[in-house]
Amino acid sequence: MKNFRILLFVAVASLFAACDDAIDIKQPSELLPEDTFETVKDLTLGLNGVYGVIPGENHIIFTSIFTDEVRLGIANGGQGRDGELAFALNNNSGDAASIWLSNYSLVNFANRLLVGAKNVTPTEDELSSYNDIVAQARALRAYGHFQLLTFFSPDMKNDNGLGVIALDFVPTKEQKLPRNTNGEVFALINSDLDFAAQNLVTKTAQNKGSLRTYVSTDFVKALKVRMAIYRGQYNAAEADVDALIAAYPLTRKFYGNATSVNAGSADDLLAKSGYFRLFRDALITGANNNNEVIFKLERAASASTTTGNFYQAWSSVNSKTTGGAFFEVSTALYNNLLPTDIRRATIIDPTAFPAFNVRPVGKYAESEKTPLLADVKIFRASEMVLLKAEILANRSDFPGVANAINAIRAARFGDASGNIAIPGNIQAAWAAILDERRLELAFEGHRYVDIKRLGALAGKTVDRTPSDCNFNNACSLEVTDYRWTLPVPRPEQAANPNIQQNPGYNNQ
Amino acid sequence: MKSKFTWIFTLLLAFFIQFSFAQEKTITGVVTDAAGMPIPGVNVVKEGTAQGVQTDFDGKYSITASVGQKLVFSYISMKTQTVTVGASNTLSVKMVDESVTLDDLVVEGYRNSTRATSNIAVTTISSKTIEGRPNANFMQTLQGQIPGLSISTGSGQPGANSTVILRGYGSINGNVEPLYVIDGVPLNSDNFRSINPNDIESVSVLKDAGATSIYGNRGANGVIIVKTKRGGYDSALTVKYVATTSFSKMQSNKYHKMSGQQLLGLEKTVGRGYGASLTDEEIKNYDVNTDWNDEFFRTGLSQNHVLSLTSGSKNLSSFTSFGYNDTQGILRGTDLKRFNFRNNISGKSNDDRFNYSTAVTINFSKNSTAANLGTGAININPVLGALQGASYINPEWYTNGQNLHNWYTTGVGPEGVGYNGKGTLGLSPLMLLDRLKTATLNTNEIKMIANVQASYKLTDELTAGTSIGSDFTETNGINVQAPGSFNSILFQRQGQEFNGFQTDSFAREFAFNMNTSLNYRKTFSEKHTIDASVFTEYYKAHQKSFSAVQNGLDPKVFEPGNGSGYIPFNPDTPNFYVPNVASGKATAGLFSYFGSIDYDYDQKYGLSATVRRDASYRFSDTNKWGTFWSVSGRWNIDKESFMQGSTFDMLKLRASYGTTGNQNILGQSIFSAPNSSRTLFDSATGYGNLPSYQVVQLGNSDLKWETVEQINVGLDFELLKHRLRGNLDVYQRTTKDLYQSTPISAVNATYSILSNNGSLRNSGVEALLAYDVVRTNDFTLTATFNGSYNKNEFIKLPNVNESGIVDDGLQADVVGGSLGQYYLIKYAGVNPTNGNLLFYDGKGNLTENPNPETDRRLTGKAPVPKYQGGFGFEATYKGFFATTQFSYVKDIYRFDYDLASLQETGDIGIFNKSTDLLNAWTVDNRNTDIPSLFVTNSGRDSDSDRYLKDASYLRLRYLSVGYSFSKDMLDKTPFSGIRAYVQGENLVTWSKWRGWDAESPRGADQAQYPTAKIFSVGLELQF
Repeated sequence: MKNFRILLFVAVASLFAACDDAIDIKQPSELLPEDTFETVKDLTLGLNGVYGVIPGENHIIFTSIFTDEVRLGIANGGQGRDGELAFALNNNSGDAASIWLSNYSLVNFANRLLVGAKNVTPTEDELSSYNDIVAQARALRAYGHFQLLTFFSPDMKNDNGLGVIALDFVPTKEQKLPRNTNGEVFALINSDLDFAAQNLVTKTAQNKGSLRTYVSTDFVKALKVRMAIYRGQYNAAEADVDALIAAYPLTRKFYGNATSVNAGSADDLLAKSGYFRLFRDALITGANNNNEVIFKLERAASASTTTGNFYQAWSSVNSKTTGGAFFEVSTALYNNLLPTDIRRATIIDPTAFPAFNVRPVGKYAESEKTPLLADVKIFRASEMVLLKAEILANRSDFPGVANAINAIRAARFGDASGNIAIPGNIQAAWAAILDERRLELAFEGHRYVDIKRLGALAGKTVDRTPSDCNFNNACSLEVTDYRWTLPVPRPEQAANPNIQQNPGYNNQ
Repeated sequence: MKSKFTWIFTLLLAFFIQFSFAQEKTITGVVTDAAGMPIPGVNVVKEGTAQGVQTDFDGKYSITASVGQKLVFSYISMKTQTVTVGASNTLSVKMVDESVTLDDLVVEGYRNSTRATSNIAVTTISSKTIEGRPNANFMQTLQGQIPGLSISTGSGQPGANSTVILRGYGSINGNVEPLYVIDGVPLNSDNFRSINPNDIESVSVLKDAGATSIYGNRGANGVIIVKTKRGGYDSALTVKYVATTSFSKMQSNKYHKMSGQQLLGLEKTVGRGYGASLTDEEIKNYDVNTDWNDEFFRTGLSQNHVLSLTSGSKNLSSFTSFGYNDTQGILRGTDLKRFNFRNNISGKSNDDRFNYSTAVTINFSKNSTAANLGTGAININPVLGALQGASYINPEWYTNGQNLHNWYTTGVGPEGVGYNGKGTLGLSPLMLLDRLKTATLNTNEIKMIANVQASYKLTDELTAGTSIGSDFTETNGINVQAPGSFNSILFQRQGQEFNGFQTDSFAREFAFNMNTSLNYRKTFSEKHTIDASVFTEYYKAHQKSFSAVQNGLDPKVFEPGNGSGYIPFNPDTPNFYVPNVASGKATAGLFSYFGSIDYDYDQKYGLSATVRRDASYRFSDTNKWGTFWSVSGRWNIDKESFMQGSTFDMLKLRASYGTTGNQNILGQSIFSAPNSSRTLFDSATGYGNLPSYQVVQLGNSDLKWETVEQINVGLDFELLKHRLRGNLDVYQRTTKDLYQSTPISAVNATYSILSNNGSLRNSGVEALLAYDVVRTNDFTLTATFNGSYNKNEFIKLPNVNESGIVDDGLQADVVGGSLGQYYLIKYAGVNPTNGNLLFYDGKGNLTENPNPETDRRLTGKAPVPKYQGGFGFEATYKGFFATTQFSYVKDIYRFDYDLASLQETGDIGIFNKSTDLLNAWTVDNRNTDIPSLFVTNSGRDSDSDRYLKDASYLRLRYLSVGYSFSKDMLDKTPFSGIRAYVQGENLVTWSKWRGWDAESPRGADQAQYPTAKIFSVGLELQF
């Protein structure tokens, strides 16, 4: 038994010696913030992380369902019926929660990178790329703030009005920040954009030579133009918008030498239509074939999934008529798309042709051979042309408005057959712009804010065909309704008693 | 002559006397329980020696002993009896149940005590209750048997985990289930699908702080101690074989689904779907009427075989068992196959000072499961097909995935079938049939639990002991979507030649624990006994996982689980065939030292205390350690002189107060939330699938132990000559520093962070009663009852808004309200004027368009029952025996989303409906609770209590009738015992719940796998 006693003693002794290894455990691969950014190369990877969280899809999906871009689809299993299609919007709505959080994630990630960058001292050789990284991060931070204002500010034209939280630092989890005024947020955006404009390496020529998926000085200009117009500062935007329109000619309906195309065949469209190629992310090269994208978010196919970034948005499998469409292109939008308008073949999947009984959303049908995958177009030249039209309308230059719109329509129809007449009055001018935006920017996340911005001027609001909405009688929503601004989501309210809710929503 | 004779006589006499004093004779007898049933496995030991035997299957034993020697009869959960050998060669003993006795063994955390000297609240269930039951997971068998222990399975998957809650939910985000300790090895999870229930000797549930505080770092939700069977010393070889065959089928439901003709008629009325294209005449003559339940569910056939061998020599005893189990689930394609091996050995030195034991079990199981249960995955979850498949679709229309896909894309079905189905989900039952026939989803598990314990008596008072255990689990999962299956073709990309995928996953967990102790026990002046111990405990666990997904399989050679037919990477189509791999590892650990002291005065008064210091790897350095303690005491009132002659045979008052800790921040796993105290970046897939650095976790360095304080007062009693026995406990458990996801501002890139916040309290009463209604030699009848009431309420909450509510959407937390309380708009019924839904707004006025922001209100209803328990009786008549057991839960509410989908009008034309819709509102049928088929505000009920249903139930949980052959009848056979029985599980349920299974641990049920009704036949043979 003596041996056993010794054994026991050893066991007890080893136990006390070994106890720390049971409680001082660091899991594998723990990367602390202070160890993350040590070199400019690290910052590059950090910047990639910032780009990775730019939200692209959520506001597009919300906008399409809440406004008048979709109707119930053939495979609808209840999606949207009780929510956006019923104009149900409150602080519990997932859309508001998602748009709010994803844009603040972008701002937060950008701020973390900017803080990390302060600890990196670049060599002289690295200085310009270091500044470029900081400039891109600040431009993206500006974009995040602007998206938040777009959806959450009740009136962007009022600098003293309720804005969003302007965030230029990494917050602590205890912080409960109130909303800043619009003016304060715009000031931060402008300082970011000014820095970016001065330090960005990618200028117009480089951007046009690239896939246009990274921030360039033209991204900064386009954002400034959109922001100025949304703020009602029409004249401030004119120089930039003209420069962009000149630099990025509109993509044509036809590609190369084609003069006709089979609107029922995706393969034919891909071969013969430039505009169709644009939305399938196909290369657009060669003389006279213009790529009008100024900036788009890259969305790449991954090995693990067979579907893309718009999986389960409007369809569950693919954008074919048999792809399980929860939502289809609305009757009103379809009725406004003429047969020779190439936009019909992009907005509605070509498999709907020619009957169009089932009309799946086609704008994000497929790229990289993956269904429902597509880059998200953020700034295109046609939006710039339409923003220019707003400047002209504001000036009551009705022929100018018609010219701008017809420039787009000529590119989409391939001829002048779709051209509009000169609007007879200011309301008609605004209405023409709003209607053209509806077609040109369908399913690109603009319609919600467009109705809010231009609805009253144009004397229009959401336009749902009775056959699309008689299942719930939610056919119209006054343009003055409070629901044209998103509510501050409940999770933010729960955490932050200093946050102020938008008017109209009950502050529970 | 005389003298010579006398001498011889004296010698003879002396010899005789001496002979007769020393003569050992063979004593035989039968050991029975109070009901007269023979008890196998009772240890019969000669007092003061280590020699003993065990009773055989028929309760019989045979031992050599001399007159005057004492025989000690002991059996777990029975009172130990000592009987002196007399003149007779037969000695039959009637043992009395634990609840009747004062002296039987009580399992406490790290020691055992007797029922009289135990200060704690504990309930023990013996093997008698568990053996032979057809539940693959033994916890399911315990349902309704232990007061205060809520066991709900909510899945019919064979071997499925049960949700086990002791004395109410004590945490929000943290672990809520008890700690399981099998033969001294604490387990990380409650996965028991690989454990053989027939090996279990006893299950003890430790409830109050006096009992669980010693498990400080993991005892916050109670402790369940499982002991497996062992052999006795000096016992002959006993071989026992138990076989059970079971048939399981679906429980009934009250959904009343439509027939083919009814559904077509409804579609015609609404003007959508196949029925809208048919004439009344065609509908009348329509001859397909499929009950999709029959296509996706079946009668499951199951077999269970267990062979066990028990034997013992002077210094060594062993128990060995082999088990084989094959349980078919009622959902087609689901089953559990399992092989078990166990070997338990006990040994000791000649002087009894050194004792050791080992317990080793090696198990292999293969579990085939259905995917996406409980979700709306209409092409994957088979239960959806059973529930919602249109009854006018014929399963014979399915041929293969390719043909089905052609039908789905062109609308042209098999010849002669008029149903179109192009692009809609109407064909989903056929898609699910395809999935059933082609998909593979199974998990192979190897589980080994090994433990070695040893103790050495340094002196008579001082014992040193150690226990070393390990828990090893390895799982291999296979998930195959077959090439050529409907889903594979559906998601096939353009230009992709080979479809289908296989996921191989592998995970290994190894946990090691070591406990070292020193115990001192001494009785002073005969009446004062002190029992004190000190311990250290070391725990470490490792996890490793790996998985690989191959996209693209060649159907000609591919077989599930094999890699033949993997299509190689093609640079032209980089994302078609590239495999996707993942790998992970984790480490966890705990360290503690603790002590306990127990004082007893003359078995009349007792006092115990424990204190424990615990460290967890999860917390930052400043919060790493926690201290937990308890005090408990008892007063054996029956020992007082004033109780002499009272009707009470036993009366004991006990009380305890103490604290326990919970360091499982997130769920049950020791590996989850391992470093939540730190903010971390990681390499992540960034923009355009390029590598990036992103912040992946926002740390909370303030995280610390969640603490449960518990006070318990209990009464154990026996009266009327032990006829009535029972106990009563009153408790209050308060959890402080609750783990919650606390809201934080979205500027942090997340809406919530794990933190310690708020307090939650459970208070309740528990009772356990048994009464011998009839107690004669031939006939016994015992009625049993157990029940509990538990009230769950928040005491303190963080971040409440002005109305004091933490709003989680459909549920809300409020001080004074229970966890998970539903927070809903009140549904008022159908508007008689237009057939729309009507609700009450926040002010109590009727509205068709309620606003979830202002009109929701607290309902006082929650998905956890307030009342629960069970009752039943056991009867024996000669060789016959019968047992019934009812279980009940009351005051529990749950969303019935299955009913909601069967009453939904929006997808008429695609899915089957309930005949309830035949009573829908029309201008001629205004007084109805079913809204119009053309209701325009159908969605407004999503925040309402329209489908929140009372899920209380009373269930005939178990019924068993059988016969035990007597020894006489088996005289000429090789058997020493034969027992045969038939039994049923979940036979009848009385409930307002209309669905497939009233039992569920969830707050909402949709297309879940219901538990089955099981009939089984059992046979037990002993050699």
